[in-house]
Amino acid sequence: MLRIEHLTKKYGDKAAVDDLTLHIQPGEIYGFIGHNGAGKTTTLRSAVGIQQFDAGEIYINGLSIKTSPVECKKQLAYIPDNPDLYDFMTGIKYLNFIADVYGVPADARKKRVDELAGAFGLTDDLGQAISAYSHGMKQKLALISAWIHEPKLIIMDEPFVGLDPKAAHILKGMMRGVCEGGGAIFFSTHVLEVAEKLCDKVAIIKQGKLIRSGTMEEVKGDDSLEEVFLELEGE
Amino acid sequence: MFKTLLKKQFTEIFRAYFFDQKKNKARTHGQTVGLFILFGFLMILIFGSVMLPICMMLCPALAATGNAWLYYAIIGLLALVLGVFGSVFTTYTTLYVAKDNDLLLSMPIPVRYIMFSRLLSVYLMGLIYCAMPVIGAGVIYFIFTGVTVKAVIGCVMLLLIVSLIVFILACGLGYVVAGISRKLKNKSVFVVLLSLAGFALYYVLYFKAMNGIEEIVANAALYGQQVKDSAYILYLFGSVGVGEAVPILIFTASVLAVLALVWYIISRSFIKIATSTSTASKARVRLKDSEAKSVGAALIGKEFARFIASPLYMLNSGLGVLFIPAVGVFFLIKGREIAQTLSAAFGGSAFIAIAVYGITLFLLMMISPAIASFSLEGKNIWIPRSLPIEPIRIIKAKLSLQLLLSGVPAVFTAICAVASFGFSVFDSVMLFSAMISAVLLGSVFYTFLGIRFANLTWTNEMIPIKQGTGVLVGMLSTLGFTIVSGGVCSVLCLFAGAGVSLAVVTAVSLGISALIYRWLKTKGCEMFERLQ
Repeated sequence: MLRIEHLTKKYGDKAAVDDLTLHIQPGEIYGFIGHNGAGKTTTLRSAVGIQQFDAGEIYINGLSIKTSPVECKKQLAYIPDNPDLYDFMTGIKYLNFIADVYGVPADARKKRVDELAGAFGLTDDLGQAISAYSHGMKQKLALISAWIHEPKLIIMDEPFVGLDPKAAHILKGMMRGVCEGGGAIFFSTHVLEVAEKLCDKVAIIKQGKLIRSGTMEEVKGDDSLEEVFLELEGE
Repeated sequence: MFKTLLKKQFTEIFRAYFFDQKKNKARTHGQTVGLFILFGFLMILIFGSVMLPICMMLCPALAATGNAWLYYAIIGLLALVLGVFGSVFTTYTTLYVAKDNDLLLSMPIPVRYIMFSRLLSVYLMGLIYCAMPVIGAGVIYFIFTGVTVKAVIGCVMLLLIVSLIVFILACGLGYVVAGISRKLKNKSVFVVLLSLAGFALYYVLYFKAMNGIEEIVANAALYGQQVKDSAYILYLFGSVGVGEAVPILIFTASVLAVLALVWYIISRSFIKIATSTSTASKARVRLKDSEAKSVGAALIGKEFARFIASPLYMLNSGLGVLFIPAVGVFFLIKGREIAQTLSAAFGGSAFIAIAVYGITLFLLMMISPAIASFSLEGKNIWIPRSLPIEPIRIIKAKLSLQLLLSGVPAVFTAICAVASFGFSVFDSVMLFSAMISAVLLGSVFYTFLGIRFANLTWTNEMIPIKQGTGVLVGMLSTLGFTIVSGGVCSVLCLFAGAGVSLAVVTAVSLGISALIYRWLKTKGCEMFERLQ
């Protein structure tokens, strides 16, 4: 589904991501953890074609994000760490805009918006300008917009930040639903308990380098993910 | 702390002068100073060219008859109108809707420091607008009457008083707009309507003033006495410029008293307004209304929504949408008189088509949404960059809005001109061609400027809309192109007629447009992909 091969991105002389290789298979929820500034966001942004990188390759279902960016982007959805949406639109207009770009038919989008907005309790707020939304509401809207075209791959940067417990629970179910449908999720988080319970695989990045990856059991063994993470960070 | 706030405020406004975004590094002190000198020179050039003839006409006649106060009263009022015109809506955007209000208010900074640092930038904007006419008028006055300490003090005090009155008006209106905006759903429409009413009043006053100046010059003593008798406050106001001590004291004390009152009112309500969200009621969404659109239509719709959502954007980048058709209507109403005047001035009717082209070209400068549109993506840039859309489609959407907003008024005005002036078929066709090619050229050029000078890091949308480098370059380039193409057209017209000369500028405009469009498709797309 997503293959990151020897990804390197430098800012000046400093390598934000250094020769990183990761493979994410269909059906997997893949967690990506690391301290602040470790290179998580740079990796995620590179994977969705927002960030140009210096070396390596990124493939989405066999297509290169460098040479076929539009085809790759059609298959994925991205949610950044801070959901800066179009403040001048209402919630429903934003969803329609995203659905138009992905070519989602009117009846299908209505069905999905009904379901997702209903689940998140956002239906009554869709007519309001996004500028009046709280951070959590924007995050919910960003999630609905990401799911609206039923992408095969969803890449998220800290998706649980700002969500209330109920919305976080719903999101976990939605993530599992994507994987059960043959899709994959790749997301970064600092909430190690969530990663431990939710992810099939996990990768730990430190100073731009991948220091451990694999199934949850392979990475943490008999310890907790937090213990392993702190141990690796201390090395 | 206060110094830090001021530095932040002014670094944001003058970011382009201190930081080279292309090279992603700070400019040297020499470069910064050079850019400021260039800015000052351009301001003097622009305002000097407008105000100098008025000052030259008024000063000798009024100073010689002992009515120098009337000279300063007229210049002071013009400066006042110009200052209000230039800075009246900056208070609202600078003070109340800055994106970093929450951040600064959460810090241990006295609220008055935040207000003062923001309002100081509003004041300085007004001061720049006022300084050009007042200082220019002062220089002309010194030339005709000699330099004295009293005259210099008067000129400086007039500038300070006028700029403070502008500031008070800007603050007052900003406060009213902010208060009403909290309660309105379609506040953009309200602000635009209010602004248009202001502009209409401005132009009525301006043209009345222009018409009256000749009359005043011819009968200086009579009008001087009449104004003194019926509007004594104007006499006092003008006497400030001459350097009279008592009027200076009266106006200084009055202005400072009103300023203190305005400060008190704003400071009492600032936090409440700045941190409030809209009180507009929730509109129940009818999901069945969702209709699928094509990608192109969705992108253009988004650009249009962005445009109409911001009064500042509409007023600064779209005012020509009203002005150009207004000129067309003016042609329809006053066509015969205009034709007679132009024929008499240029020795024939051949130049009328050239004049119509030149006027429209000049006014097209007032329709430039494409310049700010890239910068306005701001932190939202991740959205178009992560969507499955080729960069050229996004660029084309911004270009389309520019084309639509400038093309429709230009074509309407061309139709009005043809209907009013009865050009030959060839001249009419060439006028349409020249207008459309001008629209094309302006659109691709403004889109080019939008990408080339894109600045995604701002906390107040006034920065990209009003103070961006691209905006200044666009304005000056259009002015230059209008002068050059108008001049070339006029010379050609002498030998080959209006139709042929318009055909030549059409060909040149289309050629340049093609080159810029090619740049947009190649380098422009590359630059867009690097925006972050």
